[in-house]
This record gives sequence, structure tokens and C-alpha cells, in this order.
Amino acid sequence: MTATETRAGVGIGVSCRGLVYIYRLEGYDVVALSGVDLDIEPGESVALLGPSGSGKSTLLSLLAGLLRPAAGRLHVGEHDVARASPAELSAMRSTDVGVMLQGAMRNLLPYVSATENIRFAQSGVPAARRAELSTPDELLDLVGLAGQGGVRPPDLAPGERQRLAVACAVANGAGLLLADEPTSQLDTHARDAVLDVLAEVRDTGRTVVVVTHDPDVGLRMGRTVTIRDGRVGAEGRRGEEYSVVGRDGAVHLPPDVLAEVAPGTLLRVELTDEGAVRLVPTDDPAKEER
Amino acid sequence: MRTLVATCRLAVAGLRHRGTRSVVVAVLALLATASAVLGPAYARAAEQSTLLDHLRAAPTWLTGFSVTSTGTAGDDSTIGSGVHGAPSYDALARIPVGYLTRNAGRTMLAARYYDAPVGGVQTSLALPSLDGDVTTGRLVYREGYCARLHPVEGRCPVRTGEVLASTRSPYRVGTTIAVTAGSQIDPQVGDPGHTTVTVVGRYVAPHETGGYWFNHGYFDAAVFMKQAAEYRRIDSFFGSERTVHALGVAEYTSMADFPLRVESVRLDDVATLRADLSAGRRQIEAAGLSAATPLTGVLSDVDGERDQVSVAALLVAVQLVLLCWFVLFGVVRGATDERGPELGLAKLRGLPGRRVAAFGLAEIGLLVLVATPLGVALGLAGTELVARFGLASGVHAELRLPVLAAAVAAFAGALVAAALAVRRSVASPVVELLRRVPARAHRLRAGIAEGVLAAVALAACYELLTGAGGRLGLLAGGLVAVVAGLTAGRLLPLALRRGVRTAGRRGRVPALLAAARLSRRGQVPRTVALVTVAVALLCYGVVTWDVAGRNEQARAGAALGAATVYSVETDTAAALRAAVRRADPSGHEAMAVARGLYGSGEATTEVLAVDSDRFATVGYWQSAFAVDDPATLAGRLRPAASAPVAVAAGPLPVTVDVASASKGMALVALLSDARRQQRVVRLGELTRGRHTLTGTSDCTDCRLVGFDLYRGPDTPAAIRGAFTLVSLRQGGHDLAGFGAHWRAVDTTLGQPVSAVTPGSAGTAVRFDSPGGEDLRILYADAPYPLPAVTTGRRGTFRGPGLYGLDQAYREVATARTVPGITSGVLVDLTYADRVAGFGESLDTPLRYQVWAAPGAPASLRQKLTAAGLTVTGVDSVAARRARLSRQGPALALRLYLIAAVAALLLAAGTVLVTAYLTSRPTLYEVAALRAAGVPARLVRRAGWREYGLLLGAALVAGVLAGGVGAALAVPRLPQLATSGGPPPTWWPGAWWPGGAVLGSAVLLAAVTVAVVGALGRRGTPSRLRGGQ
Repeated sequence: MTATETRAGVGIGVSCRGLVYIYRLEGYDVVALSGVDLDIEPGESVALLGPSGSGKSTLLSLLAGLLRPAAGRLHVGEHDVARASPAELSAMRSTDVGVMLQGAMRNLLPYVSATENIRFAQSGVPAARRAELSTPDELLDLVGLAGQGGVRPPDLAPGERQRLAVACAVANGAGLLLADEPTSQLDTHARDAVLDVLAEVRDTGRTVVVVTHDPDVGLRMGRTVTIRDGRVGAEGRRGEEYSVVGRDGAVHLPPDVLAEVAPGTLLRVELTDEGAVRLVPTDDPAKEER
Repeated sequence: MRTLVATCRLAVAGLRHRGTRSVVVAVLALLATASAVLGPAYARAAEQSTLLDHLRAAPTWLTGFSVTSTGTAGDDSTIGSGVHGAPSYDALARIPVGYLTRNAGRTMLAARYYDAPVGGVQTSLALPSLDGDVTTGRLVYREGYCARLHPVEGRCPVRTGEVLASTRSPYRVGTTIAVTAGSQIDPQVGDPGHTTVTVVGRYVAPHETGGYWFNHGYFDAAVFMKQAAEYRRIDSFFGSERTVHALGVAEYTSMADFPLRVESVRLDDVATLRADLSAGRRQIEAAGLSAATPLTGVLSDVDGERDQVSVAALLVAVQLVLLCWFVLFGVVRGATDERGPELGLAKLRGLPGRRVAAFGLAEIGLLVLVATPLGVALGLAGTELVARFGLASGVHAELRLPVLAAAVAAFAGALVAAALAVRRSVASPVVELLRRVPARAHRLRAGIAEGVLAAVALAACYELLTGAGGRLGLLAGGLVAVVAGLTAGRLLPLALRRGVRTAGRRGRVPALLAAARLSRRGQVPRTVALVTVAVALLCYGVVTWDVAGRNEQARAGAALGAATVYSVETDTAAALRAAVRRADPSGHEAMAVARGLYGSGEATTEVLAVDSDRFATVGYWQSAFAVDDPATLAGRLRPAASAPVAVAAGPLPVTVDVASASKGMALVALLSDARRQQRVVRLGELTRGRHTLTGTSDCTDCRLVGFDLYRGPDTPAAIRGAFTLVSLRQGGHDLAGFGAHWRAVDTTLGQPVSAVTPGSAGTAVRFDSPGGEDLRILYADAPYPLPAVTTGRRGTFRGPGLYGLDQAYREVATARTVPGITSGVLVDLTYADRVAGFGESLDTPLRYQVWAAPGAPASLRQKLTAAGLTVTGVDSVAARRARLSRQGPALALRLYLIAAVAALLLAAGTVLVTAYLTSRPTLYEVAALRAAGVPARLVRRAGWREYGLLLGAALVAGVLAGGVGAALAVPRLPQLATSGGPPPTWWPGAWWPGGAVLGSAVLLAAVTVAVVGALGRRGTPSRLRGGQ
């Protein structure tokens, strides 16, 4: 299971500016993303963290071209996802973006072997580019399933299924792997194996974006982006956590700060001489004036 | 190519993975295709059966053709005088039989469909008078005649001038007869030819005059009156061709008869047969000959019944194909929708639209592709089975263009359904395909389609009710069912939306779950509609079948008269009655019947004489036959009357008191012996004063019919007189009193010639006759005019009696139908026999029968034989029904029934498949409910309630729609091939429709058990662990 055994991919970067997405339901609308600004460099490994309903999976679907943003700009590599036609988005998924849905079996045909699943995943690639693709054996080797090409997904262990799903997702030679909860419902050992595979994928030069609600997974990915209430609320890099200033100046307070400063509290934002920003809780201004 | 192979490999793997579903869908597609081809395949077989039945039932001479050449030997004039090349009458008369058969066969292209012809020649003869009668006959040569006639005496003719004579003729072997040409010969041609023939053998005239004899009337010996002279016609003489032509100047008819090879005729041959006959006939007639081709008439009758079958088949086929489309559409769409996540995955992987479509279509396409030929084979096998057991022998299922067209239509329908479903998937966003909640149906488009259907149904009903032409009306029943199904399918979810709220408020979990599922699931309207249509078709089919069966039964029963009818030979009606009473003393099993058909054309009267004491018990009866019940009618036929007077052998003294009498008038007693032969006992001359006239009876078992006055040699032409009959004694006892019970014969030309007045001193008789009128005085041991139940005649009327002798009737009741004769006169056998006195008219072959009740034992036949009757034939209502059930309309109605059963099975299968295909979310839901703590019992009850409501509503709607459809269509559907018989009933019995409803309910209940059971077994909480 070495990266050298698989053909190296070229990572694809992502750029989101003011990304908005609204679910239109019967009788009411739900704003899932309310202005996401996010840049992911080619070859970068990013975990999108956040509680359920925060919009991280929606963001992943937007990146995959499965949903079309209501507003904002979204570039995936050279693809202007917001303006692309369905055929162009399909072409994008066939070559540049690999998608792994939550639940391994949703990414696999249960009735054919692992090898056939990989071939099926490659069948959308234009014939002229197929020669450049890794072979099923190479991909299976990449995800640690060498020698299991003839096994059908239901006969694999849950972790193996998940790794096979990864192999299928990158089978098209995608420069960007989008994985939705790749480690959910897995035991620790299986989870680590999947994370190792994702690291291997990243090592091939591909960009990896993972949606997870597990902070430990985020730690393994190098960069974590916390989505809260449809926005990028924080980022973690090199072991440090940062709040992200939104394009409208909004800043999500870290949970420990929020514990001290209850919602509705008035803060005075002061810029110190050292260039730091100080948040000073203040009583009711009217009382202050009195 | 590699892509195609890969797609197919994936499809095969997918089919194997979904093995049960694949098999069930394939079976349903197979059944649907089989049902679709059933209509045209069965129609073809039924038409072939009708053709064969008609051809087999028709005598040979009706299905074959005859070419005849008629001319007068010695007449050199040509036919159509002046026509160049026209043959002379002499040439036509002398045409050799061999030449005629060869050339006629060639001209009529007979080799393909006809057996070897039988040629012959005949001429009519004038024979020396026999017993003073003008005697005629025929001299006939027919190829192979001697082998057929089997001389019982002498030998076959060998030399010219030798002939065979009938044993019914007085000519003995060795008799030489001078014969003369019997036909009219133009004097300019010459004197009628004559020759002598010698009888060298005698034959027994065969009973069968069809077949080889081709109904040429060779055996038509008769005695008849013509222009006040008595004629005797004897059976034909048979000799060689030379013997016939030895007559010289005479009219000869040469013929070549071609019997049809019935078994070789198929429907496809009919057009060729007609064309060959028509073309050949034109050529034959152009050559101065003539051709009789009665086959065209038989084929026209066949066409009529074929039309009835084909119209019904068209109707059924259209409905079945539509239903199959409906089923296939639902199943294929369900199966394709089930693969939505897979198609979503294909789109997720960036496969182009056409590849996604191919991926989506491949599985179902393969299934339908495999199922279609198998379905055709199954449909044909089913048709073959029906043909084996219900149609004429030799009829088989045929793979023909309409069958293939129906199969292609079913296949195309399935593919279109799959293509539409896949198209929707291809056009749908990936996330929609991957989501767990199914998408909403396009209600607007469905609404438009349903509106169009409703409009067409209305138009069909209008056409049916108003009798406006066209065949749309025939679809009314089916369309009503479809509209009812769609309406029920729409109304049920609407109605249950309220049920959701109510059940929620009251906390009834099963009701809430059932109502929620039924009101929200997209397949509910489709399922309800399908089951409604199927149940409606079943009810419709069963009702029409039952009504037709009842009408068949009524027709067969009315035509035959009793459950079983034995044709018997006996001497008299009285003997028959006595024998039957010996054979069945109980009176519950058998009844003596005599029947005669008199007159011709519109003046035809049929008389049915029954042993009225047993009529109500034994005779076939339906309440529609008459207002009165049969017991009442029988009672009216047999009012009280004097007992007959039996006269034994010995002196027969009669005391008369003569007031006046013309000279030479003698009184005679008229007796009727056991064989109804007249016996006359001359009593003595009537002279003034009181006398006892005594004659001697030599009759041992005679019945007194009455007295007659015989004229003596000195009696003047006009006679008159008056006398009183005082007593009639034998063996010291009064045989008959003269106070009453006597009547004169009927008036002549409205003028009474004798008057009979009963009185205390005896019966006074006054007569005054200018000519040779009948002056009989008859003993009234039967009511006169004879009481009769009639089907049209009212009051008192005259008509032929039991033995064809004219008599008076008195209508005592009317009936719409008289069993056995349908229309005519029903009388009491004993009274009719007594009223007829003795003798019979020459042309009245009275038929004697014994009618047996439904419960009569099979040993009755032996009992009848033991009682002295000779049973010559048996017929039964069951056998007649079997014959009627092979006619076109019955075959068509059978198709309705088969189609209805197929429809119900399809519907049940579809409910199962739909439940299976849509089981994923349901199982997940059930598993979630179980995990949430809802007891399995409640979940099961919810399932029962859901399917009970779903299928129960469809069942009710189907029964109603089927009833309405049947009410609309049944009175307008042909049920029997021919008109006549009792008025048809339009009401079904209770058993068949009830059975159909019960059967449907049981089948649907079984489906419910299967579905609910599967949900309970598979919807366990562990299912939640694997997502779905």
C-alpha cells in the first residue's frame, strides 16, 4: 500500500466566495449555507467539521456539483460550478472530482466484485483518458484491498467496504476527493485504516476534503474547517484553532468564549495598539450613561 | 461493443442479485405477455373450431360440390343457340362419366381440398303401372354403387341391361321390366327412348343418403297424389353406365360429386376455397354445365359465428393488452424506480445520460426480452390446452401475426414504461435519486390521461345504450371498469387523509399507520385501479358467462324438453304411455311423449302430446316459459272425461229407436284396435221402430270410437232421418250409457249435417245430408275440442291433431315457450290419442319419445327396453349444451372468462410485486417502528388494515363496476348463434357471481397475508444497522 504504486494525481483547488444554498421545502425555506468563504489549495487535506445540520454535507454536495448554489461563486479547479451546465458538472465528476457518499454501500454496486465496481466508477471517463487511469488492482492496492478484487461488497468488512468506496471515488483519476463521513459507523481500527487510506490518497497529490463530525478525524486531516450555522466559523491549523472573520465582518466565537459570554451580550470590540482585537463585555449602554 | 458487453454483464449480475424480484417481475411480464397473446390466439383457435364444427356437422353434399351435365340424347341443338363452340344437348347427355369427373376436377382445382370424385349418370323412367298407380323411377349409374349397396339377393349387374332393384319395390330377381324415358322429350327430337332391364339383384335402401350418395334422392320411394291420380315412385334401379344410356332418347344428368376433405380445411383456406369455387363455377357454366356449390352457404354461416368470436376476441384482446400494459407499466416502472440509487450512483460517477439510460434499461430490457417469447409460448400453450379440452378436435394454437403483434405490443409497452421511468431518472438530479423519500408523481399529466379515459368511457356507454354503430360500445364494460378503478384509486387516498388526523387524535396506531401509508404512497392509486379493473373484468366475465350459460341451458332444455330424451319406436301413443308407466311406476322419472310436425312454411304446426300427469315432474321448465306453473297447465290439459269403452270379441247388441231414416241406411259401430286400426262392426239397417241391432266384434282389445251410418246401394244421394240410441251392451252389461258423452262430428263447410242430443231416453240423432258427408256419432271419452296450451293461438281453433288428422282445439292457457317444440300446441297424450280415433294422415311421421327427469337413473333405458320399447336414440340437455357451448358466442364468452381470470391473477401478482418493489422504505419504517417500541402486533394490524383497505376498496369498486359493465353489455352481447327459443334471461344466478367475488376476496386476502407476513418477518430493528 504505497503511493508510488498508484499513478500520481494532480491536486485540484477549491475556491468558495459568499456561497449560499437554500433548501426549498413545502411551505418554508431553510438556509443551509449563508455565505461560505473557503479556499482549499491543491493537494491540501481538509476536514469539514460541524454539528448535524450545520451545512457541511451541503457544502460537500455543492463542491461535487450535485447541488447548485443559490448565490456566491464556486470554483473547483477550473470549473465554475455555479455556472456550469448539468453536462459540464457530470463531466467534472467523471474526471476531476471523486465523490464518496455517506454510507459505503451507497457508493458501490452490491452485486458485482470490487474490481467491477472500480471499472464501473471509471466508465464515465472519456475513452481517450482511460489509459491514464490506475488499474483496479493498483487502486485496490492503494486502499489495502490487494487480492480482494473478486470479492463483492457485501462480503467485505465494513471498513473494507469504506476503503473500496474510496478506491471507487478516486478511480476516475480525480484531483479532488470529496468524502462524506467516511469513518462513520466504523470501529477505531477500521476508522484508522480509512484515515490511512485517505492519507495515501492525499500523498498521491490529490486534494482531499472530508466531512466529519469527529474532531479526531479532523486532527488527522491537517486542516479543519468548522461549519456553524451555514458559515465557516473556525479553522484549525497545525494544532491551533482560529476563528474566521466573515466577509461581513462576522466572527464565530469559540465555544469556551461563548460559555462566558452569553448570546445577547453586548461586546465592545477594541483594536489594541499591538494590533490585537479585544472583546469587552459591556452592560446596557443606557445604564452606563446614567 | 465493450461497453455493451459491460452493460449486459452488469445487468445480468443485477438480475442475479435481485433474484426473487427478477423472477417475479419476469413471471409477471411473462403472464402479461401470455394474457396479451391469449386474445388473438384463442380467437383464431375458436374460429377454426367453429369452421371445423360446421363443416363436420354439415352433410357431405353440403360441403362438397357437384358438377352436372344435363342434356337430351338425340337433341342436336346447342345451348345458348348461336354461340360458337357451344355444346349440343346431345353431347351434354352423352358426356362420359370418367371424362366429366376428370375435367370437372381440373377446372374446379379440386385436388387440393377435395377427395376423389364420385361420378354417375341418371335418367328418369316411366315404369309399367303397379296396382293401377302411375309408376315412375330412375335408372342410375354411380361409380362403386354395388360395393355400397351390398345386394341382399342376387348379384351385382355385370352386363348391359342388368340392374339392381330395391327390396321396397315389387320387382324380384329375374324380372324383366320394359322401361321408357320418363322425362318430357321434345317431339322434334324423337320418341322417348325405351329398353328392357333385368333385375339381377335386390338391395336394401340405405338409411344414410348423404355421404357417398350425395343426397341425390336415389332412395325416395313414395306414394302420392298428383292431379287427382295416385302415383307411385320406386327406389332407383342401379346399373352400368351403358345400361343407363341404353335407354336412347332421354334426358340424362351426368354428375361428378366432390366430397370435401374437411379435416384438411383451415381458416386460411377459406378464401382460396371460395375463390376456387367461384372461378371454377364460372368456367363450368361457360362450358354449358352447372356446378352446385352449397359450401359457400355453409361458409357464410361460419362467417357469422366467426364474426361473433372475432368481435369478442378483439374486445377482450384490447382490454387484456391495455391491462397488460397497465400491469407492465406499473411493474417495470416500480422495478426501474427501485434502482434509482444505482442510477444516481451512475450519474454521480459522471456517466453520460445515454449510458445511464442504458444502465437503467438493461436489466428490465433483458427481463422483458426473455419473458416475451416465453409469454408467447405460455399463451399459446394455454390456448392449446383450452383447444384440447374445449374446442373441436384438430384445432391447435397457432403462432400468427396477430399473436406476434399482441406480444410486440406488450413488449413495446413494457419498454416504453421502462424508458419513461429511466428518462425520469436520467433527468432527475443525483441527490433526488439518492434520497430516501420517493419523488412526487406528475399528477397533472395523470389527470389529463384519466380525463381522456373517462370521456372515451362515456362515449362508449353512449354508443352502447343508443345502439349507434361502431365497436367502441363493446369496450364500454372494460372502460367503465378502468374509470371506476382510477376513481377509486384517487378517492381512497383522499378519504384517508382525514383518517390520518382522526387516528392521530385518537391515538390509534394501526389506523394511523394504515391511513398515512395509503394517503401518501404514490403506488396506491395505481394498485387500487389495477385491482378494481381486474375484479370488474372478472365479475363482468363471470356474469356474462353465467347469463349465457343459463340461456344455453334454457335453449337446450326448451329445445329438448327434458334432461334426457329417448327416441323410441312403438305402435301407438297409448302403447307408449302404458310401456313408460310400466318402466317407471313412480311417475317421477319418465314420461311418454308423442310429437308431430305438420304443414309447411308459416302454416307449420307442431303438436306435443305429453302424459300430463307427469309433465310437471319430468319436463324441463323455466318460469319464463309461462305465467302458470307446469302443474297448473297439466291440470288444465286433462279435465275429467268419460272412461273409454272397451269392446271385447263377441256379440255387440245396440238398441235404437228409429223415428225415420232414408232407405238402406245401416248402423255400424266404429272400433279402434290396439294398433289404432279401424274396426267396423255392422249392426244392421235402420228401419222405423225400436230394435236391437246386433253385430259381432272380432276385436279382443278394442275401444269404442262411435257409430256411423253407411249408405246402402238403394240409398238416395240426399239422406235424412232421426233415431235414438238407447243402449249398447256386451256380455249382459251396458257398455256405455246414452244419457251424455256423445257428440257429432264437426260441421262441414259450417253446416251441421247431424245433430246429437242427449236425453233421458237415450241419445237422439238427427241427420240431414245432401251428399257424402260424414255422419258419425262419436263417444266423448276425451274433452272436445281438445284442451291445449298454445304459444299463440287463442280461443277455439282447428289444426292437425296428434296423427295429423284435422281436429278442434280449445286453448286453455298460453305459454311463451313449450318445452320440446318451443312453439306449437301442447296437449294431453291420452286425450289427444282418443280424439284422433284411428288412422293417420300419410305424411305425418309421428315421433315417439320418452322424456326422463334429471334424476332418472341410467338404468331407465334398460327398463324402457324391458317394457317393450325400442330405443333408437338418446339426447340430453347436457349434450345440447355442449354443442351450444361450441358455437361462436359461447366460445367468445369463454374467452371473457379466461381473460377475467388472467386479469385477476395479474392483478394479484402485481400487488405482490409492487409491495416487493416498494418494500425498502416500508421495511425501514417497520423496523424503525419496532425499534421505537411499537409492538409487532400493532405493526401487523397496521399492515392488515392497510391492505384490507387498499384491496377491499378495490374489490368493492371492482364488483360495482363489473356489475354496471355487465348490465350495460350483457343484453347487447350475442349469446347464442341462432335466434329463437325461449326469451333470454339477462340475470345471472347467485352462485357464479358470488363465487367470483368470494374467489377474488380469497385471492386478495392471500396476497395480504403474504405481504403483511413478509413485512413482519423482514422489518426487524436489525435492518436499521445497515442503513437501508
